[in-house]
Amino acid sequence: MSIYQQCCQYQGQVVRIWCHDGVEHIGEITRVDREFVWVRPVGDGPGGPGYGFYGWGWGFPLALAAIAGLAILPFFFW
Amino acid sequence: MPVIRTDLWLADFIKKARSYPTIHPIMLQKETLCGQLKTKGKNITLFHYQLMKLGLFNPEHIEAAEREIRLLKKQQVWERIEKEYEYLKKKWDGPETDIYIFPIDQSNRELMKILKGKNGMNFFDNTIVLFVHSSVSEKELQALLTHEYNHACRIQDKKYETIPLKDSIIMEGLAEHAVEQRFGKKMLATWTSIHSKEKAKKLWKDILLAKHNLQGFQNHTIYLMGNSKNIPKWGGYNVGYYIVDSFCENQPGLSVKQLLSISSDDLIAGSDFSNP
Repeated sequence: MSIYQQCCQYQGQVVRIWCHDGVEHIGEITRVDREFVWVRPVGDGPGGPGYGFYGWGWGFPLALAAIAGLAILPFFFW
Repeated sequence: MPVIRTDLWLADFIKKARSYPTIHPIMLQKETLCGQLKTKGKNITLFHYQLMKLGLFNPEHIEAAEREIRLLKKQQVWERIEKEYEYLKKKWDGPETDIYIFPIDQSNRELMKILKGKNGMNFFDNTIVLFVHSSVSEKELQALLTHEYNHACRIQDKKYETIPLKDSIIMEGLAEHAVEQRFGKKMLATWTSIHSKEKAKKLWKDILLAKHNLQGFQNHTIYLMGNSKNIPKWGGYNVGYYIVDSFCENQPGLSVKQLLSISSDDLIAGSDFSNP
């Protein structure tokens, strides 16, 4: 199964993604297209005190070509 | 130099966005605006994500972004923030910080109308990020940095993982009190008056007081920002303002620098929220 197909299959679920550069990400797949998968980090929150705005967004994009593999994490509950 | 010359990074982004139209602009935005932070050990994917959530400009609107960057440069925003930082650092004997300035997302109504085209945040490593629109006045710009740099002073000895909720609430009140002292009530953030003092007292008594020692900044968001159930929008921010405001009414004459050295417990005890 291709990375794209796996991302589509896991959309809405929390996954671990490891990239070719060795970096790992854990988050919920919120969106997938032919170029990118969008990942919203688990336990997402602002990095510190601010002025009052903090959006929730789709998460950050990861290029599918940069992904070496991914696996679902079954123990995260919303 | 505390104010990082992000105007050069922004110029690089515009140049690359025009030169490489087949590369998704969001990836170019990440690389040009955050790529240099690799040397500081930051995860640039997560940092870019944080910036997007704070209101970073939309990279797909190249013309609008280019126009804004040109205006901000013409207004000498980087130089003005530097001057304001030096003034505040000396006045409050505050820490060295790195300050990153970015154009704000103009399409976001809350940011533009309610927060008047500005936003900011402190990371717990002496980093401040500011998001501004070219329509922001001189005083508004100064007020934004006053708020954010006040946070930088207050969180010097605190950690993201262990900071209690009471500190997160109080520091918002301290930051806006600093704005009020310098510029008056007109420059206060919308959330200082979004709820009545009576409503704020009820929120403190019914919910926040029981959680006021809850540790970890990641756990404070719903109490500060509100949720769709029992915590009104900007509830914690609003409570923080009223606590510090009433403390200052009860004990007038203290400077911002003096207030920064008073513990959250003492500020609460001296406020109108001490016996809910």
